[in-house]
Amino acid sequence: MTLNRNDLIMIRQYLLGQLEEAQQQAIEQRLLTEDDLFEELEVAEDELSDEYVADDLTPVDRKQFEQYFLSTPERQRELRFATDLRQYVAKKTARDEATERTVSLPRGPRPERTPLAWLGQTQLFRIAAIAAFVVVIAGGLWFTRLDRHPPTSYATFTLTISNNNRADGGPATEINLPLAADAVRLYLKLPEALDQAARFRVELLKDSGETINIEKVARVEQAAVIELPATQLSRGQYALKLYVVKSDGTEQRVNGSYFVSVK
Amino acid sequence: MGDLTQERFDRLLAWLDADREAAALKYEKIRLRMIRILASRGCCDAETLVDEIIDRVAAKVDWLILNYVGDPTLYFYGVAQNVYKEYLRKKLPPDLPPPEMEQTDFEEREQQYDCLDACMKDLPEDNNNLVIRYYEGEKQAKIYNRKRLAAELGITLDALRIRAHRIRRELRKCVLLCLEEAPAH
Repeated sequence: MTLNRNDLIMIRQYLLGQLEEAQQQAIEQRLLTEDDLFEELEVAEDELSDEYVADDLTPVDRKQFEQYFLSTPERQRELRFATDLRQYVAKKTARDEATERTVSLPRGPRPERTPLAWLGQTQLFRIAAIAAFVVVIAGGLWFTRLDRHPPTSYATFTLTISNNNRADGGPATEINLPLAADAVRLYLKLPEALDQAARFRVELLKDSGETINIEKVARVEQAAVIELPATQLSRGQYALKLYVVKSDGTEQRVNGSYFVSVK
Repeated sequence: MGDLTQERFDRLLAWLDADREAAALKYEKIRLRMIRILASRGCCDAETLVDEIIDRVAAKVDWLILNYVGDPTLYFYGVAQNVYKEYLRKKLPPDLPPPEMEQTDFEEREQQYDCLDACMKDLPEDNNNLVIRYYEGEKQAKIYNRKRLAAELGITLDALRIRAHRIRRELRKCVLLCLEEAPAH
């Protein structure tokens, strides 16, 4: 029997526990007897896991996915597989693109400048540029592990902005180590005045002086959301600065900071 | 399985189909699908429940052979409904939070990834390319990639979904096998 669009929608709702009892029973009876529909169930399971990992589910579906779909160990293992597959493909594609770029580089005389020559003419600018480079590398290393092994479980914290600075002892959200999760997800509550379409960048400053630049910032209703790998969190005080990235690429700092104390 | 004797099991197969091989296939299909359905309802131990369902159907097989009219699969489903209701009554209160995610340590994750890497390399080249291209990209770019891939292969998007799923299913089996064979850390 050929499946129609309604069947696909029903299967998806079935997997997310969104069907009425009678609808559920009707679809289950068909699952037992129709091969096409059963295969569609398996395809839909793959796709839901993929969409969850890619953060493509709506907030309602995401919640249902976590509370209903992921309720068995088998499904949790499937999610890990989806996570690994996504990372594998991303890495493979990036590698291939890098190879293509290398191959297509124009053959010409190598630039005579040293690698640092482009940084600028003054010593001060060079130092600033190197410092920025170090921060970017540190940020990259910070997230390498997250990219290689994306988390499957999160400890979630909601942070409120404070206009105090660290010296004043702003209200810090406490995170206690060790975490019973792969990563922390921080919801930075936004001031109400911010544009719905705004994009964000976050700077994470540690009391050791280390600064991490986080450009992967999601927007979930009235919060900017970032994720940090648990394995990379160390004890100490953190301050997070939020920047609004405008459409022309310029940035505006949001007044105040968010504070976290990792213990 | 609990009380299922060989004799009773043979009669159960005979009820499913006169041809024993076809009956065995039907039996396995019913069993696997019921496990999947009960897992979809949140049963963590769906296999045990399905064994119980089969035992109960087998216990009535002589009566069924003489009296039941219709698709045997649907009779299994009716019994499954009862067994599931009993399971719910015994289960913990429904307002408890769902079970925690199984924790895996870093080495375990590393091993899973390495197995995936090895299994991808073992795929025939066409299938390997299809997986990479099917899962490549984000959002609109991914949709565009898939349309282009389907067009290149001369198949519909739906057929491509199914093809990608079947390769993924094999890949998943390969990874599970690889993990079973990998030395425990």
